[in-house]
Amino acid sequence: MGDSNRLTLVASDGGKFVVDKEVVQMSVLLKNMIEDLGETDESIPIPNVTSPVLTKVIEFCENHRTDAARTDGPNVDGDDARMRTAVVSDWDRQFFDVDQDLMFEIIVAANYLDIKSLVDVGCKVVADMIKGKSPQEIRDLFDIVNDFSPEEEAALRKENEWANDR
Amino acid sequence: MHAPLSFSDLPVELGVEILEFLRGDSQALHSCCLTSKLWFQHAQPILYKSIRINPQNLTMFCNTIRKRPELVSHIRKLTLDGLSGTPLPPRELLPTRIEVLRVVGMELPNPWVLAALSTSRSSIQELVFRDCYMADPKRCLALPELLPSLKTFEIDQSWLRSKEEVNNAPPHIPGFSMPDVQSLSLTGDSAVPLDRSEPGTRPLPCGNLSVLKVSLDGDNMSVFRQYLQDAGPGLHKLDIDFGSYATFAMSVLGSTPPKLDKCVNLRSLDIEFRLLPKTPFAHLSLYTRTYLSYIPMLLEGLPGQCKQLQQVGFTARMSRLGSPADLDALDWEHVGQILSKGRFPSLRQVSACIAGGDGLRWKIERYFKEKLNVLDQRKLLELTFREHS
Repeated sequence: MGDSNRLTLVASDGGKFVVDKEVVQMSVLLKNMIEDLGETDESIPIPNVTSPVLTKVIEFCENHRTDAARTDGPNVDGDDARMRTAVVSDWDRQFFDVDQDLMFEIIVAANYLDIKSLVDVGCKVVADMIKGKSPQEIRDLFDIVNDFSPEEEAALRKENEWANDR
Repeated sequence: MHAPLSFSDLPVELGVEILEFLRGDSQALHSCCLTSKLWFQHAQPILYKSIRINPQNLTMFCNTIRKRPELVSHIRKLTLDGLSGTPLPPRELLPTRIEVLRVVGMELPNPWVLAALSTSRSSIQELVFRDCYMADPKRCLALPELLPSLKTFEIDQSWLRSKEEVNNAPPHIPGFSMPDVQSLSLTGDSAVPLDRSEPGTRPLPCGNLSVLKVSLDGDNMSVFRQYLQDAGPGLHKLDIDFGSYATFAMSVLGSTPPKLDKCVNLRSLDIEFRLLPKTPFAHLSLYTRTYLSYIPMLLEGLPGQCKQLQQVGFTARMSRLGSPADLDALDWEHVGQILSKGRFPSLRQVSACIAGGDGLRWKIERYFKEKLNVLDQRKLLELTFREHS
């Protein structure tokens, strides 16, 4: 008999991870699966997530396992407030101090596993990377091709120039 | 092996969510609009969701919406900043679906504000007046009553008094009659005319109010105390800011702090105050003793079994450098002892935010861990710092 408080997740490359159920349940997808399966010793396959990414996702969930209890206070503003108040701690910033492709893979995995707090933190970290940068700097940062003609770009710059004034 | 993931490979909804985190940062969103056609497609609606119009960008903004009037339909949050005396755009170009209207640094009522309130009357859910001058308090305070969807109303650091009255006793004003408002914030040293409510009227709404933030001074303390007897049970979140002016020292004498015994459903309580150093003449002045002794009295005054309370926050303002005497001005150990009692079984967080005190940063953390040891051991304590303001 295995430990009923722990279960095994299997990454897409076959890597196995034994994790506390409490930690796993930060993922709405896995929480629902566990409820559907009931008590079982079977491992749960995570087909879209590789071992290195799953390692990071589990690391985040273990670090934030007590957060849910702390943030279920009054909230009259809904989703908008969640966005405004998503807090990125020093630990979170260090957590996302990784190669860009791994960073995006973590965000995509969090979205797939439905771990709202990890999606929020990841998106906020990327948003913070954009802040204060020129269009060309953003293109360079994320390897984006400029598909505007010079005339189109000039017209758009003029159209939204009010936004550049503080 | 799989190809490395880049921003362009993200699902569209994640790209949009990232851009949503930039909402309100018009410069960043402006840059995003110019990055590529795909980014433009997603960034421009978000750029127009939250806009701030001020005298510097007013002409440019009006030129744009004259050419592209459809952009106005994106606006959900509009900040009008210092537009007193500037011409209005044509009425057909005014936004009609504003959810949040913020008015900053303007004299009220004002044609811009009246126009926005009129065209978005049914959609405005949040109304904020900050640093405003309300020359006709009666008329200004009646404006929220025109908005059927209003849930949040805030007056911050505004002056409610006509020019003629400045040197005379101000007249009574009507109590706030907004039965559907859930969240009300009345802050700043001149913003809470509770003590000037017309006799027989309730100074604040009571019906659905669950979130309340007020600045208190000696003048409005007893009115607020009375009000809590009725409204206390409905409140889930209460923020109290004890005034910052030295004049408070005089007016506070003889008054008693609000009693929170009716706040049986409170989940979050935040108290902001200034830590004042005890002077060599402290024994002659009741100021420090009276003022800061309110904090433990407030906490002691919470209901005997405060089962819902999850979070208590303290924001302690200090001088820029701060001194060890500032920290000792409040009996933090007493505060810790009160909050560690079994009457708060749901308490999960006690936060202490120190505003200022830059010269003491190195020792503040150790100080609080020591003084609030009973809370720190239960991992309830969270300490943060804020710039001096």
